[in-house]
Amino acid sequence: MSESQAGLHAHGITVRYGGVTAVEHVSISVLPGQIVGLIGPNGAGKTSFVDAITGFAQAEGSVVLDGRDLTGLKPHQRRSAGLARTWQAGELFSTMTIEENVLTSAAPPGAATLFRDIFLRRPDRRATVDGHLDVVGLSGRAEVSAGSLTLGQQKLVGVARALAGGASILLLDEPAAGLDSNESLEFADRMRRITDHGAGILIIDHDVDLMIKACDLIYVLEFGKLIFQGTPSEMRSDQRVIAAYLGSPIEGGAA
Amino acid sequence: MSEVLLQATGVTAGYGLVPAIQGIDLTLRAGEVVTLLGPNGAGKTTTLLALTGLLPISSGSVQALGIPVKAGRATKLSRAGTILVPDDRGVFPDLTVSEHFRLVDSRRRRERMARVLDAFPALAKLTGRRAGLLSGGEQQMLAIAKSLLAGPRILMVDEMSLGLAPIIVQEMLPGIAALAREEGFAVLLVEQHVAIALSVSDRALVLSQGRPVLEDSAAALLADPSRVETAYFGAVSA
Amino acid sequence: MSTYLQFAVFGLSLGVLYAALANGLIMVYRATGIINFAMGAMAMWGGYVYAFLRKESVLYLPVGQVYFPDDPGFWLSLILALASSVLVSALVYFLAFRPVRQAPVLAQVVVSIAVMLTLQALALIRFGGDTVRVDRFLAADADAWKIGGVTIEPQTVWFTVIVVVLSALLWAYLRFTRQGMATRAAASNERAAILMGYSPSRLAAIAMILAGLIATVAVLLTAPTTGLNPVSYTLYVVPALAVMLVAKMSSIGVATGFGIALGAFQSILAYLVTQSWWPEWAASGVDQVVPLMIVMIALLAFGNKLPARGSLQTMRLPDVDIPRIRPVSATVVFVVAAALLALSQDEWRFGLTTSLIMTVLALSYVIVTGYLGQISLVQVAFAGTSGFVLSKFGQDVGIPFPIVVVVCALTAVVVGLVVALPALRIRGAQLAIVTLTAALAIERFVFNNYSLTPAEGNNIGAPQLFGLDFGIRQGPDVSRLAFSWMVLVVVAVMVLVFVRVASGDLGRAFLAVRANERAAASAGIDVRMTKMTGFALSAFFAGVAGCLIGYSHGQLSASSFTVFVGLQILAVAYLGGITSWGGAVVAGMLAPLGLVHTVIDHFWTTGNTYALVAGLLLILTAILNPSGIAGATKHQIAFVRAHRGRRQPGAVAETAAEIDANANRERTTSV
Ligand SMILES: Nc1ncnc2c1ncn2[C@@H]1O[C@H](COP(=O)(O)OP(=O)(O)OP(=O)(O)O)[C@@H](O)[C@H]1O
Ligand SMILES: Nc1ncnc2c1ncn2[C@@H]1O[C@H](COP(=O)(O)OP(=O)(O)OP(=O)(O)O)[C@@H](O)[C@H]1O
Ligand SMILES: [Mg+2]
Ligand SMILES: [Mg+2]
Repeated sequence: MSESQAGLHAHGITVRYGGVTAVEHVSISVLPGQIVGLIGPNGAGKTSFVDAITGFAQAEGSVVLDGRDLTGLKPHQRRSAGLARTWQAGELFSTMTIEENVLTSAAPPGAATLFRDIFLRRPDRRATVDGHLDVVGLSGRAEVSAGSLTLGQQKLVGVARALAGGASILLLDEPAAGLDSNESLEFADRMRRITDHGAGILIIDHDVDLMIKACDLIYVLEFGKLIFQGTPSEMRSDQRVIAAYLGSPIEGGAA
Repeated sequence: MSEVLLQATGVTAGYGLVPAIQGIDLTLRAGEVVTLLGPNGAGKTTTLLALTGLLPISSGSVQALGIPVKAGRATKLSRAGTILVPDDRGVFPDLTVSEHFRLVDSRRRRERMARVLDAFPALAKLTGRRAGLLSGGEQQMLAIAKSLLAGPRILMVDEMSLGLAPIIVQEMLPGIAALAREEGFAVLLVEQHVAIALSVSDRALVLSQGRPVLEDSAAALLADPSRVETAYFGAVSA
Repeated sequence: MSTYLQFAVFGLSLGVLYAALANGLIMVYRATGIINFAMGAMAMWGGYVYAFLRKESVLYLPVGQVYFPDDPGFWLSLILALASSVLVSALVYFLAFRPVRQAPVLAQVVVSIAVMLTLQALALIRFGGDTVRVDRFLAADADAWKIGGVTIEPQTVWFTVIVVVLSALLWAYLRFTRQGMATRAAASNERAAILMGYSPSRLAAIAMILAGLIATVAVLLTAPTTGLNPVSYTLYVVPALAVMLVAKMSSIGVATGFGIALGAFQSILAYLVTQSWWPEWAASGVDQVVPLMIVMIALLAFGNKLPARGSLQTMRLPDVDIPRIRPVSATVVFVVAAALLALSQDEWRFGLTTSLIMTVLALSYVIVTGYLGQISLVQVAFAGTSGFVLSKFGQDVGIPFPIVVVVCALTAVVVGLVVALPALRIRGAQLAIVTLTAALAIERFVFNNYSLTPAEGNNIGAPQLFGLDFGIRQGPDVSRLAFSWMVLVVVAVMVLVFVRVASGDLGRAFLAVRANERAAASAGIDVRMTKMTGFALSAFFAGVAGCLIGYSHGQLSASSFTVFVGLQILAVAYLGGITSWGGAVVAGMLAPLGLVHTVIDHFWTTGNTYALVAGLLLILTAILNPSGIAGATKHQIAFVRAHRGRRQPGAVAETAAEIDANANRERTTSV
């Protein structure tokens, strides 16, 4: 695997729903250790882009992860290859505990699972689960039912679920919506801890303070097309981004 | 002083035996914008549910538009003009955007349609799309637009800016506040973006662990944001 | 050619009925989200009222009747029939459907099946089981038209026109009126509809009434040609359900067209099977097999592999407690059961043994419905398939006893995998429809096919192992202990297998698929393979139960595996608790021919009254315990624990409050 191939390289992604073109020829790369932001007005096609590269929406274009071509694979195959995602609406398994939610992706069933389940001893995976919950700040709550969590907490469990089972790139769709300002800044530190271990993150969020603080690089989508690509400070002063998305320019630092 | 539209005294409510909110006092007057603040799980959503009759009140009382609020009266209250945008957005995935608008009484709709679509130009292009297919932010716009269309007398919005782009929030919040003052309806906002919410509000009430811990004019709180922050952690102050 | 057309025209009157029932189903579904399995039974009520008004000048109410001095005449009878239809619809809505409107889909399916069984039993009691002739609705005085060798009665045309016009009115109501739009809206998000000032229960009641009216009119039009019969009219809902599926649960236009076409097509088929070149073994049940085929093909063509954005994923689900093996209590239970079998005799031992067998059958529901979340009404047909293979081939081929059971159960697995195919594309209540259609097709095509299954049944020899005889009968003893103990061992092994799977990685993957397929796929779970595995496993359990049922009767009889038996077992499996093996044991006790049945049979004679009371009790229990008896008990235990915990100081009190809050959150979402 050559240097340039490590990480996620989505090239020329186009998503059409009937007559609507939601994403048009978008290319984005996320390198290991990087936090990359994807922002844009509502309906710009951010979620559709994530749906496309994770196999949940029909799309044109190619997806390469760590040198392996994932184009055309099913969602669960892409996940096993290391491309993990969270959902804008949480989408936890609401009747299960937090621990079981995380375990689903730590141990997805394969061909021999039925045999193993019936006849073999089970490994104790509690320590791994606790490790992932610790990263998102939910350690010690493993036994709580996922259905009783507030939206913000649900999203954090989603991140832990994406981490479990090994992920080289995480795609996070509005993970901080539902968190208050302090919590979302804390979340930036948590993401940094994840990338310090070598994973890459693509994050979608409308919390501009969080994005500016956390991201190494930001892409901006409008009407399905990339209109900007650069560092957070460049983005802050880009006229097109201000007009399309930010509105009034942001004063420095976190509010 | 302008007319009192909603009067809540000592409201306690919850899920099962554990009350989630206790002793909430709140007055909403015509043309007034009030923000409800508080950390995660403080009881903001619960308060809105109790005020609209969607959750039974175990003690205390609420009068909205002259109707005593009780569980089971939610339909009647919303007909009278107490309109809540819930935190799950309350859109109907199978209905198109324009069908959502047509659900609103036609008399009220005709007067306001143009104005509401003006406030959300993005929606004007989506009228034929099923709401379930909309992006998260588009659904949020639809939820707010349809409640404005209904001509509220009391408008309550839970997590107004959730999933909305900053430019939309910056235009929408002052827009709604202006409309409220012009038409004389009251607005009760739940918001995570404290600064922007306070900048359009008259007053704010901070909850912590189900109890009111701070109530003051928005201007005073904007001048000293640290007061809100300490209140988040439960300190009661004047 | 003209013969085919002629038969197609004959089929129109059934087609009209299918179309109207399907439109009623769609109406109820769009207004409440409930699949109204009782649609046929509800519609038939008005037909009976009309028939008996004309025939005997008696107005039958659900309870009591009113006598008229003489024939009230056409118009009054019609109005009274339609009025009783309104009454029945309103009663069903307010007493049965409304209480479960926020309950898990399975609870809704069970309630609507229970309403169907109740109405059928009530009709049997009130109107008898014989086919009742009904006078022609429209006078047949006009001359028949002849077009190119095909005779068309004018009234056939009028029927069709009436039903098409009524369907168009329904369509316009849902599509264009504000109230109709609100009806659709309220079904998907009741709270949001309330917040817009609508009253969801009023809207749903109106929709139910409209659905009942159009279906009743169609029954009045069709009954003169077919005669009224409580069983066949109840089951007309099955082809109507198939039509509804093809119409994607929503399009009234498609349902009308396809329903009429299906009636015509079935009529042509009925003609074809009488031809000499048609193979005799394939003559029975073709009219049921064909709709199934059409539905399967339609689904494979249109269905989505994973639910797309915007399809509702907020399904409410019964809770699950992950089981653990506790060796001590397991041994105690086993020994006690063995002792009970030894101590009991004759009918009691037979009842207990049947309950044990039914526990395995109920476990197959626990796997596929409780864990995997796929509502399957076909498990009993899997059992029947396996028993059928045992009776046909198991004896001659000479495979020794325990292995032959495995082999027969594996044939059920094969059938299970075929039936699982639609489950890859559809979910929830829609799958219930497909599996019901499949069950009926298997019943008619295989079990009731006299060229495959003789009326007297195929004999099944006694199982033998190492020279020991485990047969149920020997001389005068018709319920041998050896057989019962053998069953107990098999059941224990199956429960053990279930617990291992349910508590393992596969069980967790089942639950994940049940809760949210998209999220499951994003967690790396192969949803397709997981569903296939679940169906296969559940078919295996059902297959084992089928063999045991066969051994316990000494022969295979079709009556053990009918659709109605299947529905009853799903209902008791659900009532016992669809997510635990304890629930399966309760279900075994309640199952037909099980222990409770034996008790009742011992003290009372059973008959239609039993069916009526059972149906009513089923509705009541389902309304009161939407998560089943075992689930409700679990809630009560958790509640008591939480309250005991609260009195202790410190940290415990906090977790107790948390449990309490969770319990309540679940209750608010699942009641
Ligand atoms: N199945 C579909 N059919 C038609 N249009 C669709 C479909 N799915 C999404 N869209 C449209 O595609 C556009 C892009 O949606 P997407 O969810 O990707 O936006 P987004 O950038 O994530 O927005 P948000 O910030 O509001 O979440 C939206 O206008 C949406 O309405
Ligand atoms: N349906 C429910 N059943 C049981 N407890 C609940 C339920 N809904 C909320 N709670 C609990 O009540 C308390 C108040 O919750 P509420 O949703 O009102 O908070 P909130 O201030 O709106 O929080 P957030 O900012 O996260 O939306 C929390 O502790 C929460 O766990
Ligand atoms: Mg999005
Ligand atoms: Mg809230």
